[in-house]
Amino acid sequence: MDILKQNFFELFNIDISVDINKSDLDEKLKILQNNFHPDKFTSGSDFEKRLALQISSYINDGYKILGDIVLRVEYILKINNFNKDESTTINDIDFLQEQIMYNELIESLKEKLEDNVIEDSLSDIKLKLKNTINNIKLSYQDREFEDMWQNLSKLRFYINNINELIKMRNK
Amino acid sequence: MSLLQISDPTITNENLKKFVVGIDLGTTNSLIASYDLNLRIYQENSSKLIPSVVGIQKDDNILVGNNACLQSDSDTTIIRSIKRIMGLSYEDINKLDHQENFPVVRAQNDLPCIAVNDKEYSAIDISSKILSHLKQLAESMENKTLDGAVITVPAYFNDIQRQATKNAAKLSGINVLRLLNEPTAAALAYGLESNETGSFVIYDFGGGTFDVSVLNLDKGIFKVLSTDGNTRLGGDDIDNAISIWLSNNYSFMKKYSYSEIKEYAKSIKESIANEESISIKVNENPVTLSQDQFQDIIAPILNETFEIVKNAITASGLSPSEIKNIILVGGSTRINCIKNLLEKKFSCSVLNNIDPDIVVAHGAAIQASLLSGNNKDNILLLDVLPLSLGIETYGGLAEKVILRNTPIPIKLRKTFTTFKDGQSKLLINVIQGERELVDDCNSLGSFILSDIPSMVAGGPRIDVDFQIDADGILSVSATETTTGNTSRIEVKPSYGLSESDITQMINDSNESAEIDMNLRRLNESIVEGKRVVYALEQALNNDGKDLLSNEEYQSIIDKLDILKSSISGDNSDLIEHGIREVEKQSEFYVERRMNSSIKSLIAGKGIDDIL
Repeated sequence: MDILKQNFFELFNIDISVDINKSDLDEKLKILQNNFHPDKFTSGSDFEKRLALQISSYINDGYKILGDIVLRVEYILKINNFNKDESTTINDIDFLQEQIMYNELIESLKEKLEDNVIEDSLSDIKLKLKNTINNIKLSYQDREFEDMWQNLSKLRFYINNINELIKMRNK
Repeated sequence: MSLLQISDPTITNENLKKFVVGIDLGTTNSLIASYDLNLRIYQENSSKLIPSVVGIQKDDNILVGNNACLQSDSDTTIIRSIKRIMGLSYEDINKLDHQENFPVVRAQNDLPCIAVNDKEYSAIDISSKILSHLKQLAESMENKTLDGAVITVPAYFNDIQRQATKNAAKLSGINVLRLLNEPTAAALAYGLESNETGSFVIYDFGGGTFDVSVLNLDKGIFKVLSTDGNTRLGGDDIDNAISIWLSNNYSFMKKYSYSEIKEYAKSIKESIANEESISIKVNENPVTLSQDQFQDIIAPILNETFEIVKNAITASGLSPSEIKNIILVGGSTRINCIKNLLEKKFSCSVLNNIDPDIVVAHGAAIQASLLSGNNKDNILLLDVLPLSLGIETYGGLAEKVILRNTPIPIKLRKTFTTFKDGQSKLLINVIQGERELVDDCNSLGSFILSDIPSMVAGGPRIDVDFQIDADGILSVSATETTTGNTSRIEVKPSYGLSESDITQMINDSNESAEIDMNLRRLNESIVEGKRVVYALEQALNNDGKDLLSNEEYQSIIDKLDILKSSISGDNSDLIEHGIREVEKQSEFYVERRMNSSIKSLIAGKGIDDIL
């Protein structure tokens, strides 16, 4: 078994899934880095050091990707060999209208901050995010990668908007 | 060879123990300490703090530390606060708000140098003088040669500044085990002693700089969640604020020079600690300051630090209520009200039971001990990239490749292509910083990819790997994937020294100080040889028979025997050759060991088994 050829789910010994147990992931990161971090090889040969650097970097990369819902879904698509051109158009008219609506909302909030509007929109989008994640899970169960990919755009959009609104709320 | 560290990190044999230290290379003062069950600080003239001051006399003789400070004659050029210009370009220095009080000239490669007696000294040169001084101090007190050191750097130091610090150490003959972020070192000092779990803020308020880090400590792993700071905010600003107050409120102050007023300001700062109010006499004139007034005067400065703490907490993804403790570091945290204000503002308890001046060196010494394998505590420090790394794209925009606060080491691959038919070269400008425009970030250097095979525009696919190591230092490699050719990379630093400049400098310095070099090399190679033999034999006993065929096993034993017999001789070339041969012969074994260890680590185990 070559560590660097395992996919990240295998590396962390986690079943491929849209959901992830964050504390399990954290725990596995610690176990892995405790054994492969370059600090454990400071008096090692150059070869050992190089190998440790590679493996440790790979573990950190995996941690980053598995720990982020968007990157994780992208990665699941990738290991299932589903590739799609980024510029492919989305023909979900409802979602397009929603995008226009939220863009306008954010623009108007930038001009005039209204706390209750921010709170309402936040809970609104969070609900949509939850539904989208559920849809992605269902699509993955049915191995409907095209659906997953379509929902991924929504996922990115909702997360960006949530971050934007939270930034405004903190101002 | 650290094969043994997978199974047994303990070095039981005293002779194989390495002499390693932690160095806090500070802007104003430096410290050097070792940690072997107890902390030992190497003092100069019974003072733990060694001034980061270099004096250059008329005959080019160099004085460092307290000796340099004692020189008041005009024949000696005194250089202070060299850390402020480490890794900066000549232009950067001219852009600084406060000009340092040494004559900086523009030398080769846009490198800023200090000209003294017709000689030019770079910041790396001066810094290496301080490091050499510290090294000699520790070596003479232990009567041992130094095997390695952990050197601390501010968390916000960029790649060039880190590289410069490492080069200064190389120049002074110090083997750098790791560069460690200062706040992280402080946490290590506290974490190990109190065995805490939770999230912590490190509030490091020094003489001239302010740093914050948010860290997570859990079961021996230290994770840096975020860092922030201001390189121009420190105790000095507090002295200035009090000085201004003195000048504005007492007209007789006009008689005094600014530096004299500042001395009074300093003594007021130091004596007001717990007092309701204090009165001092300045040449028969009474000066009175109440605690409330004092706090009002320094409020703008403290509020700025609190704002930075708030930003760092936000960046860490935690809410203030999730912070367990704030740890105080740096001499300026002796101002009592800081503790109370922090406790009130962030409603958590503040730790200050380790001397804030030595806590960083303390942590660095612990880390050195851990890295050398002397210490069997299974502690690992997981650090993060302090500043985002990016590349310049069309229109002078910065495209982030690796975001700040990503755990390191990390490797990222970017694919590039050509935009002209037959294009054979590609220039990539690598930058570090958080801003949108390249001009607002630091350029780390330009990488020229050459020998790109001749193809139509957009044909070649060049994979460029950005590898950040555990010190936060970048290296770049590139491969053209359609032909499999490795593109050649020329690294042109934006300014400063290339690798070959450093090698030249080290060679130059060695020529001037060639003492017992051969004997020292022999001793080092014997110790190293013994370590290799010990480590490999332990490993082979453990799993050699399982992982190796009889032939493979024997081939390693053969090389080991050659090494063993060379160790009893006095030819260091032979021993070093023997070590290399053994290491080469056991490469596949090392790889198999790593690959097989992962199975036993987490494969087939549920989370319950691991905990």
